[in-house]
Amino acid sequence: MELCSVASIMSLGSLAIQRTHLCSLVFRVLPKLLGFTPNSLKKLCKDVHPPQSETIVGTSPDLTQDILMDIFATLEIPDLIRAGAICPSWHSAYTSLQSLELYKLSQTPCLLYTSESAGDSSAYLYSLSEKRSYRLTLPDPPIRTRCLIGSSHGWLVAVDERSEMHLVNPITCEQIALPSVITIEQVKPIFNDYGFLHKYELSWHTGMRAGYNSPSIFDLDKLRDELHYKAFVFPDTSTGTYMVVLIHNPKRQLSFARVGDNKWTWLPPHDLYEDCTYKDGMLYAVTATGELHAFDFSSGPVVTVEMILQMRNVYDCGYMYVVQAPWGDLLLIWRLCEDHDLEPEPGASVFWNTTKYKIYEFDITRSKLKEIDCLHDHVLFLGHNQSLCLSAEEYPSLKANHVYFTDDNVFWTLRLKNNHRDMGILNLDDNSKEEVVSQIFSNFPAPIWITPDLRKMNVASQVD
Amino acid sequence: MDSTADPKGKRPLYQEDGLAYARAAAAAASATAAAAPDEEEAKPKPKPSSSSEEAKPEPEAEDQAEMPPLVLVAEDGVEVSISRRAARMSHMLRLLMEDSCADGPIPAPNVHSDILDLVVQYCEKHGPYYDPEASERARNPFPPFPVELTPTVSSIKPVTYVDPDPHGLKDWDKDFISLDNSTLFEVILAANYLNIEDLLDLGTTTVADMMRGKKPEEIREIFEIENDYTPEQEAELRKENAWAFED
Repeated sequence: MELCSVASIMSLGSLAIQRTHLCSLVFRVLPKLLGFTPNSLKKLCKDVHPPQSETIVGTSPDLTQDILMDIFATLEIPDLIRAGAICPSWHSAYTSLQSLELYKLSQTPCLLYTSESAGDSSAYLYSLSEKRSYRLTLPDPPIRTRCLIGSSHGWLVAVDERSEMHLVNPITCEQIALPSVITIEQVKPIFNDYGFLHKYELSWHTGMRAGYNSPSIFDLDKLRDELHYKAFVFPDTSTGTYMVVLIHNPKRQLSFARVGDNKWTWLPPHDLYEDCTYKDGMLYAVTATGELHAFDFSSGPVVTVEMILQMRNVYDCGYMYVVQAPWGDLLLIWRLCEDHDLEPEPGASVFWNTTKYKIYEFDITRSKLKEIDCLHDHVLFLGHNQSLCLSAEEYPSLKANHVYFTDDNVFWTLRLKNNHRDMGILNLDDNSKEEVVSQIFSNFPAPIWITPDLRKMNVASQVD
Repeated sequence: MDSTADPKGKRPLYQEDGLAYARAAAAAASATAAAAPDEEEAKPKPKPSSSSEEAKPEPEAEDQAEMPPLVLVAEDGVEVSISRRAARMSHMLRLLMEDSCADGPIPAPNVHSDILDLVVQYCEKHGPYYDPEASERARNPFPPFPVELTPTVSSIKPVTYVDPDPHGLKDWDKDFISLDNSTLFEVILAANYLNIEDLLDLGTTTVADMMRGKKPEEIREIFEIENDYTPEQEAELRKENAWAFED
């Protein structure tokens, strides 16, 4: 861009009256030019005509669009939306920020939950930064008729009453259908005499062994109680697409699909997976037996898998998570529920409470595993969501060295829908727990962490 | 110009305009008629014969404390001087000093002298501790989409405790930035014009902090912003994300 003299700035300004969102030069030059006279005029007016109390006369100078965008870029989504409603110039900065995707990407996670009294299509978003809840309306099918099996990058993975999966963004209300459940290896559709799908057949085979039982038949809405376990959405930079990974029964195997595909792809032979994370074409998944597997998606059409770690300490009363730490290592986390009673006395209820976490750090390149007892300035979010490890410095509302967790044991979330939820905030210093939000809400679908996101996926296979 | 390489897309062009303006003015201020004001990369003659009393600066002058201060001219004509060490905090002034264009008075045409005084006060306070590279590393609010989990320099694994504020500037900043809103906005605009990243950040985060959790009506009142929307327009606007406006 060549240097301009004052004269050319003036002529450029008069030419560029039309606002083009992507022309940052106009944003800077035009308001600056316009800012001369109104500013001094306003100061003059303020002296001559004292502002009336009923109306607000703008006495502050106008901030330029790029300054407004700087201010807005640090806001959480609810504040950002409100800022966009202040006045036309602030709204313009808000829409520019949104279209250029420059707003704060490190949004603080919120808790999404439902409530019987709010109706079947409503969900609440509890903001950890504002310490208050917002009520959202989600697209059909009604959210309270669905199971939530995942939450990644602002997308919920929901399973409806036909056991079909969708991605739902509760902020933008965008909804995207995932490949049909009948394309999963073990599932076959059963049609009635009129040719309509009315049941599913589930085969019990895995990659390792043939099913020792004969296949079972399920009603359309009952298959999801058996099949779906946990799902993740990963943006894949190399292909520019989104990949969805599903842990499903029997025996928690893996299948995956890219958004836009028409079928799920099975990833035999291993099973008993609990959690996974994805980076640069590699999918790292942990099993209930303390194994860490690495799937290579970048080496060609066939996905290869290898076991890169077998942990010696395996805990019975617990389950595993894996997450990328911001400093590059993988964190392997055992969630221990030593406080439980699955066979209580008559009259007493079953319960299962998290008591502590055992955290291990794994350096992939050097294959070194080390137990750590403190996260220093970091925070974990665990549950049915995609596991997160965040830096407390970037998120001032979060408490360093704490684990924010929700219930994700399928036994509880699906089989015992009305039980109290094992969720809260655990302090790794002393394993003390506190509540996230003390409010009566519905226990099904189980509350889940979500990181709000204003972005749209804009994929061809969108459905309403 | 290296400014166009700024990955965040922040002000890639603006400082050049301001720079050109300052250069053109500096060139004009120099009484040497022989110097044809070439706008492409004008370097005014090093010895302005009828200019101010300033001595000729050395080529790499910016770190020399004994170099004479710069002179900024506010919109009301008042001259405000700023030491060279403090002036480094302004990217615009830094470039002028590097190109040896900083001898004569430098115009700051949209900035009132009161505001310029405040800005200079900030730069003089922070100037001695200013490290341009560290400042650049500390800011990265716009990671590329999709969000990558690549470790960044700032997310170094915590091992030892490092005092984030070794010179106690945070408290001073807090006092400094407690201004009435009109002045605050003027300071932000001035920091933007002079391209003083740290002061701009301080100002914008202060405004953002004042906005959090507030309703639009409250924000308008605090910042004295006129609502140019009709009630119908505003209702239409709020419909899209109605949930954010509910109590």
